[in-house]
Amino acid sequence: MWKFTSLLVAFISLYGCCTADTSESAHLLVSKRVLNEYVVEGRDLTVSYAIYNVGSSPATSVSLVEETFNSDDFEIVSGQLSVRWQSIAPGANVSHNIILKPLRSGVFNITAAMVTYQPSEDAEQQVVYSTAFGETYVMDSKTFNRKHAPHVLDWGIFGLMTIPTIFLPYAIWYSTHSKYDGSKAKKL
Amino acid sequence: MFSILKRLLFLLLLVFPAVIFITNEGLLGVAAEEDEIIDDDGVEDLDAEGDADISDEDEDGKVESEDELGEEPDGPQSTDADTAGEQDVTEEEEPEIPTLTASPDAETTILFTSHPEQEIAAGSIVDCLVGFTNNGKADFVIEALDASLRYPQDYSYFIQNFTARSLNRLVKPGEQATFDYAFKPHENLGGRPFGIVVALYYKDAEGKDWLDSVFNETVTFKEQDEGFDGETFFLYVFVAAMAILIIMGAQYILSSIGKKKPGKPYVEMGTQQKSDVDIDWLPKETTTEFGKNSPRRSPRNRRQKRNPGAGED
Repeated sequence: MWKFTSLLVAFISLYGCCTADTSESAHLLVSKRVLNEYVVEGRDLTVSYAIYNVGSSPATSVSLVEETFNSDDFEIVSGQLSVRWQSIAPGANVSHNIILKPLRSGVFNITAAMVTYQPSEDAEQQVVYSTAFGETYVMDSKTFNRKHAPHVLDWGIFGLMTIPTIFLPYAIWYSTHSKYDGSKAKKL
Repeated sequence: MFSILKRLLFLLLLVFPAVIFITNEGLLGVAAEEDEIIDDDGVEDLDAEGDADISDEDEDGKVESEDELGEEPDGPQSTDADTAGEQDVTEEEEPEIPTLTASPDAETTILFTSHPEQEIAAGSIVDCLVGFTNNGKADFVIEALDASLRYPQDYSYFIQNFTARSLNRLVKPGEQATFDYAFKPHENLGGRPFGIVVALYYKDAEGKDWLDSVFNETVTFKEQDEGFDGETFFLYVFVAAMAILIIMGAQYILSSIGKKKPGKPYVEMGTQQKSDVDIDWLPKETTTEFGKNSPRRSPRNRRQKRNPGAGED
């Protein structure tokens, strides 16, 4: 009997602890996405962060720190690399965007951003890492232009070069045609 | 004499290689045996058709037993799973590595960011975020994340398997990490329930493998209701084009039939009228010119005609 009660007590305490753990704390999921289809040197690169609170209490003093993009390789066009939010309510989500400009081409490892928050009032700071984009190839602008530029100048030159081959035969035909056209008109 | 020789040569060329082929290749011999078994089945089927319903059951039994013989222990397991509940089935979701479970020191959560209500439309991209918390005292290395669609009555039956995403991320004790995964259920899977299993593979510091099925639920996919379906649109365009073509063809046929009747008497009237015209007052040379209908004369020919005349002059 004593065994049974002790087991019951243990079970209840365990259950209580578990429920307390899940009900009173906040849990953040952080996604970090690159919105560009092509990452090109010298062109804007948009990185979007979204923080979801899947816990059941608000997360307080949330701060996002991005250390992946060092200033030698990336220039910040707009946005900040470290942001703070007072609190994120349970079930809510916040998002943050930064626009960068890759200064040189090559392969870069875009790793996770770090977010620290307080899951509950008395709890310690919790660290959560965002999703990582992984190794990204930053295309150099020459290759990108070769593949995706509208090539207006190239097509213009091509059009100019086609003019002699089309208009010379036309001019010859027109001169002979107009010669015989007059005689035909007279006949008719 | 020659014909016999030819036949011998023919036999040699056909039968000899065939015999060598069959005797040398042991595998082919086995295939032939399998064929024989199938033939036996066929004979049994014929018998069963002749007999009553009970024989059908016998036949079913026989087929299952053959499966058991042919396959490895999977066969009987699946038959057990048919009768057993879903909970038993989920335990053996990875039939190859049945020992993998979630680590007690790890905690995972999942959030479907694209479909928060879990009302997933077939054919749409489903984004999900998986959160991992390291509650233990040692590092975890997250290796991969994958998803699959299962048959809801039997989770060992895979309907669609999605590519695993390799992550290779280290999560230190007390820290959390987030991983993202996106998959697209096939368009034809709408309107039916499917078991979605999102599995996270990770390793602890000692190198032991763990598997956590982060999401393991039966979800009914919605039918994809697109506002604009290109396929049906172009079908309508095609139907409209065909209708216009038929109308034009019918109009052409009808008009050609209608024109023929009034056309003929008009032409005849014309010839009669022409015969009525008195052109005797004209010189004979010009009247002969009328008969010759030759407007397509090039100036070169005219010149050639005139030249001999000029010479005569």
